[in-house]
Amino acid sequence: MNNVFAGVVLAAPVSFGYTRYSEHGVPWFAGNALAEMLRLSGLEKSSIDGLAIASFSLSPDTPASLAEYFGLELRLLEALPFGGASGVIAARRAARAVQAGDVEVVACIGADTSKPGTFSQLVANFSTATMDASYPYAAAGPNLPFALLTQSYMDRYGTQREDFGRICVAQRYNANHCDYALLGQKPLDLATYLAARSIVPPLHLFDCVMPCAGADSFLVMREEQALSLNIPYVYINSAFEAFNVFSSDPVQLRSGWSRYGAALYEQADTTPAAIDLIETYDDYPVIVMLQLEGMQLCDEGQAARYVQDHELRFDSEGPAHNTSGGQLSVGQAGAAGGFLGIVEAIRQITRSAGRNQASSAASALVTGFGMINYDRGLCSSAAILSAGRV
Amino acid sequence: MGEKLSQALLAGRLELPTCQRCSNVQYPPSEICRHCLSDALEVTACDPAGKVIACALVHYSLALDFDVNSPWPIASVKMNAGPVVFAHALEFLKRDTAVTLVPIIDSIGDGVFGALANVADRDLLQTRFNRTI
Ligand SMILES: [Zn+2]
Repeated sequence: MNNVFAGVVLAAPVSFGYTRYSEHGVPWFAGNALAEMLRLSGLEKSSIDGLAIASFSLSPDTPASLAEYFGLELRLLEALPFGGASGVIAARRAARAVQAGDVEVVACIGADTSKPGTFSQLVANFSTATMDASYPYAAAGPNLPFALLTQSYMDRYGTQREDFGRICVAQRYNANHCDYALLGQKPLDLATYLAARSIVPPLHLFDCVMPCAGADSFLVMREEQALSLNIPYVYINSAFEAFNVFSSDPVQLRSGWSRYGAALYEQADTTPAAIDLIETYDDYPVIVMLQLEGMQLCDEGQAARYVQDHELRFDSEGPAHNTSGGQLSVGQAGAAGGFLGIVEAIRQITRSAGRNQASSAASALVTGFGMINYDRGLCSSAAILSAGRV
Repeated sequence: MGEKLSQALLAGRLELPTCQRCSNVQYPPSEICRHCLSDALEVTACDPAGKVIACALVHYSLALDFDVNSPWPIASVKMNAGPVVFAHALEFLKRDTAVTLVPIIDSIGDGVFGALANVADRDLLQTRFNRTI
């Protein structure tokens, strides 16, 4: 075993409170997630001396105000405005801080609430660049840049809607076996996927996530501590975060994964073929394909073939993919969407998933992608996790 | 800088923020040159020609006056001058279509880009916005 993050583990995976709309604020979601992590780990609240928080709807409150709300005295407070890349980045930074001895236990939490209209407000005011250069063009929100990106990908590689559909249908199957997936009661087949109404073609209804409220979280601590608590945990073998990679590409058909993916496997002393479980960031299915390609599960432009050749279900022969149903079938709880993959990976590796438990889940690749600023996502991340004490 | 750009477009001028030190054309608007970090940016005339990267028909929008019965084409255009811009289009534009960017006034009175395969269609594109101004 390599030692990039030697002696540090991830534990106590929690997905809390998923619901379409909520009257509760972010502190309610984050606080309940924290309480549940304490219950799972047996830790006292006073043991938590680090907090890493990702949230879009926390304002006008701040991460510091959460410390006060929760009565925590902290030595590390990390705000993670990285959207879909934030879960892996939280794990990476928290692991470094624990490893360096700055803190003992870091609670990493992604949480957002959702009220009618809040998603529209978020989209309308997302960044200066989107306000100047994207929103005035039919106010389609992220659907516009991702439709353009999807169209470019299809033009370049000949990908068909059916190929994107395979991802969405497999994830819905996984969600049908996952209790907190908001769309888990509804089946989805390829014919229904293809017949769905247009949003911004080539994007149709089932290519787009449903905004919702919820929290996803985990704890980072030293291995000895997890052992003494007698709780299951996973190793973080390698992780990267990257920003504004390949910025001169006219269309974003690759990101940090293509630049840093090979080193990620090398650091973890593993290979793409040895990965049991893949948790990608699925705000749109084309982004799943970019992650599969960038992380060398297949060559550039070959993701359609990959999804034809692999079932992508939690109970399939090949690697399991987005075993909870992903955001496409669980819902996108704002920045918690950036934690969904890593939290599900911890749950799967420690064999604490429910009916959607994958049979082989000793190692996992988790990838993240976030912050579409104008025409591209600026943040990318990835981590390789493996079984510690299960 | 976004405000200055919008004013130029409102006045009918196809201009973009341009670095006075290294000549890099900036978009989306910024107060600092992405290339050399100079703050000497001026909104000045630039080559309005470009090629379509991709086009999408918007069927679903958050805009209150959006007519769901008439899907709205938006193109991403790689300008000869360098940047990629989103622009309103008259119809679906195929990849690599040569287009000219033109200034348009949108339905809330802001200056925005149009992308036309035939620059003579500018008035036609402008009239699509005229219902609420
Ligand atoms: Zn410059």
